[in-house]
Amino acid sequence: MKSTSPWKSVALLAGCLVALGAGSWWRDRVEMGPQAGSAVVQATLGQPGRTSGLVASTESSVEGREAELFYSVQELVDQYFVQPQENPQTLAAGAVRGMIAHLADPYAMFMDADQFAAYNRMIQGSGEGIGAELRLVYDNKALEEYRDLRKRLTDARRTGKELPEVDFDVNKLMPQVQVVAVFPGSSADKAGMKPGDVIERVGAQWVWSSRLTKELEALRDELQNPKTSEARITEIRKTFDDRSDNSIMPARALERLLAGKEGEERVTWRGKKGVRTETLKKGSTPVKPVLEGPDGLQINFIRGTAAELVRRLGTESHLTIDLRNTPSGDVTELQNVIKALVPAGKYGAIRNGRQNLVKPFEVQGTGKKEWTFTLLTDEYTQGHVAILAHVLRLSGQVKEIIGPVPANSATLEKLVELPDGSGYLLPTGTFSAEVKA
Amino acid sequence: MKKPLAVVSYVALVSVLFLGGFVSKDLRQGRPPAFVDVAPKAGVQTPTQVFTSEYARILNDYDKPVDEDSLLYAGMEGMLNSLGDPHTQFLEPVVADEFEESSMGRQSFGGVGARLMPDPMGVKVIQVFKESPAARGGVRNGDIIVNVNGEDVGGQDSDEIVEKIKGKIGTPVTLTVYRGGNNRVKLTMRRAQIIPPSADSNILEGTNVGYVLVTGFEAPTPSQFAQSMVEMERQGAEGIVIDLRNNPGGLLEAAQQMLNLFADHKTVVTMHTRNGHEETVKTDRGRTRETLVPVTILINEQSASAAEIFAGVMRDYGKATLVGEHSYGKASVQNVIRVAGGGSVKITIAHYKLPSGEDISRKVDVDGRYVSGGIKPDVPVELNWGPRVAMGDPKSDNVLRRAIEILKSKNPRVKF
Repeated sequence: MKSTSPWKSVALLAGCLVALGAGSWWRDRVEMGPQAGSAVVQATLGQPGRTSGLVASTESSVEGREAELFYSVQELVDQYFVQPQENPQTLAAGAVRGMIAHLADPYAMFMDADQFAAYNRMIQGSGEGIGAELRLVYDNKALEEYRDLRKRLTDARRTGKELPEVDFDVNKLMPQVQVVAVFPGSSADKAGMKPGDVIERVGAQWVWSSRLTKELEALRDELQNPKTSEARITEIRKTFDDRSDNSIMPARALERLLAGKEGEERVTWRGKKGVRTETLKKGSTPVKPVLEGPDGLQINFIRGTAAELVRRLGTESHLTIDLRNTPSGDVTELQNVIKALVPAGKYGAIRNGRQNLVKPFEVQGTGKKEWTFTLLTDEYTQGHVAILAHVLRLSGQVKEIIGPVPANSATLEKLVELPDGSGYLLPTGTFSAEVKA
Repeated sequence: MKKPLAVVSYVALVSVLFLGGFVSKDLRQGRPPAFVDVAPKAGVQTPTQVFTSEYARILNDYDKPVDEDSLLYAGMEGMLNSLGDPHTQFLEPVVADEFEESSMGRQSFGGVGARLMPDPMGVKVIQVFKESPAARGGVRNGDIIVNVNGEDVGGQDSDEIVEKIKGKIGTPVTLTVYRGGNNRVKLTMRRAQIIPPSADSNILEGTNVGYVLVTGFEAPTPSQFAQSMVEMERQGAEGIVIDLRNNPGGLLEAAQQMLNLFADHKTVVTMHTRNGHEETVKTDRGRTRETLVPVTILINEQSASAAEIFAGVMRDYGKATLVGEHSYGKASVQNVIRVAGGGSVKITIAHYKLPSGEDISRKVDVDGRYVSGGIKPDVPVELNWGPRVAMGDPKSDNVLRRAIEILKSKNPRVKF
């Protein structure tokens, strides 16, 4: 090649470039793989109801009304939204968040990627934040009222009928941030936080609640009173400004207290012994599946709980379990624990309100009839913990319940993970101890 | 001897390059190369697939019955909320219709056509709308309505009294009004459909200052505003207060038309869209009407969008002094686009800057509380709100009083 003339090199180089370009050009004209042809077909035939010119996408089959709507909204965002989006999965996760919020169900919970990761660490044995499980507790009657009103409004709007009278105070929907359980040894535990306590303030910020709203309403009434003095009006105005400048929504308060392993929070909470304020350090609290408490075994529904209980039942056939401060934990492990402790059989029922189905709660249990239990309960023995208590009771293995018998129904959820790392809990049924299937 | 080898390697090189070009197109477009099996791998789902499967899961597995449409729309709402822009929203089919209606003009009710404020004796008339039943029936600004259809309303909640005055279109209503001293007058009028003007004016009681209240920026607003300005001048106003407090804005075009009166072929805003494209909106040529008296504009945190543009542009060109509290800070432009199924997407397509180059967009902290943004008033005054305060009433509205004092300092002929 030494004798090659310059024009020949240029020609060879040009050939290379042409090849490169031709490859790229040709790619545009062929379709390969399972998506073959779809874009072309859509472009020529179009699709009813679909904005034209929106077909240049890698997404091939869009089926169903909901897919079509999602897809066209996504395309609008891609084309017009002032800020280009980096991760399109965020849009899908956002849509799921919106649907979960719409359910207005205290047991349905969306968690963003950070929260979901923290939740997963918790059910695998590592608690974070101040070391307590917190929950948003809603006024169930108000929720029912709200759902009913919403349904009547929607129906009236769709059918073009006159709208029903709306007299509903949305503030009643504001939940309280309640302590479900306190991890032993955590800073919340050391400060004396107890299940049932209600968080009122985080740092300088007031947690919005129906209680706080009522307080402000009373002030507003006072303001409307013509007899209120100018000095008092100034004072009320100050209180209003302080509350609205220094307030935090319940869900945000919960997030601030539960997430993170560093720093501290000054927390005010109301318990049976009155109101207390303490500075609580955040940290990571190791959560053990089973712990020897002063009155009995304390359990957490995390990975390994079932195995540990079975191990203990290998040496002694009676266990005293303290269910008074039990985090709700992981629903899968709850099922594992139930399976491990009771013999095969039907215990109570699961009802799905949508399908109007009542199915017996059938357990392929491997437990032994001669294993017996004494259970310690209190008024906060609810949810998953209550299900365990009832199943053990129905299997005839409970010797004694010391404390109130837990409410006879509790919600069961499913945990779903989404591609962007977020996830959610979806209530899928209600366990009931008394319903005959 | 070397030639065949050279040719073979050249052909090989060309083939590799062809292939490279072929594959690079795929990679640049974010597809797996066409030779790789593109059957969707488990767990790798498109956003649409993720959404549809979770939608189906919630419908089928959730513990309680859910309305399909409402769930779908809630999903769309959540999807657009995830963009972190409060102005990008999904409008359900019915809401979308109402949105169009409200941009065309205000919703209507059967009433007498007056703006009222609470008063211990009943309700006080602040403003009688032009050519309304109240105007024809003889109601005047400053009257206190003490009796409605034979019922004394002194001490009642003002909202309740308003409900009593309103009613079916065409039905009569008798009001007894108090005009000071022993002067009580009984007036009867027929309720009519009232379209409250989005711009209206009056000379403030006890002054020679014109008060122009603009409550929105809708299609009819510019002509109502122009009329108001002329009317105030005709009545000898020595200064003008334009009240944009609690004005949520509306059409950018309305603000632009109103600014035509003050600035000749000047920039209103510069818009920036997603691909770096810039567009400048200007006022028209040759439509200014010189305002010879000083102007102050009242703003507060509920003044947004077109209201902020109007106030900001007036300030930037030295046409008005801004008084009150900082404005909301909505520095973006939205488009409303219909989608399949009758709903619409209201989507932020651009950010804008004022002629001075100032970016007024609202910044909030993680809890959604205001940190910065909005237009800062030239003269900051906080409203001393309370039960006996009515905005637009020079006796009880301390922000309005401050604005009049400023007018007086610029024009000694202002009486206050």
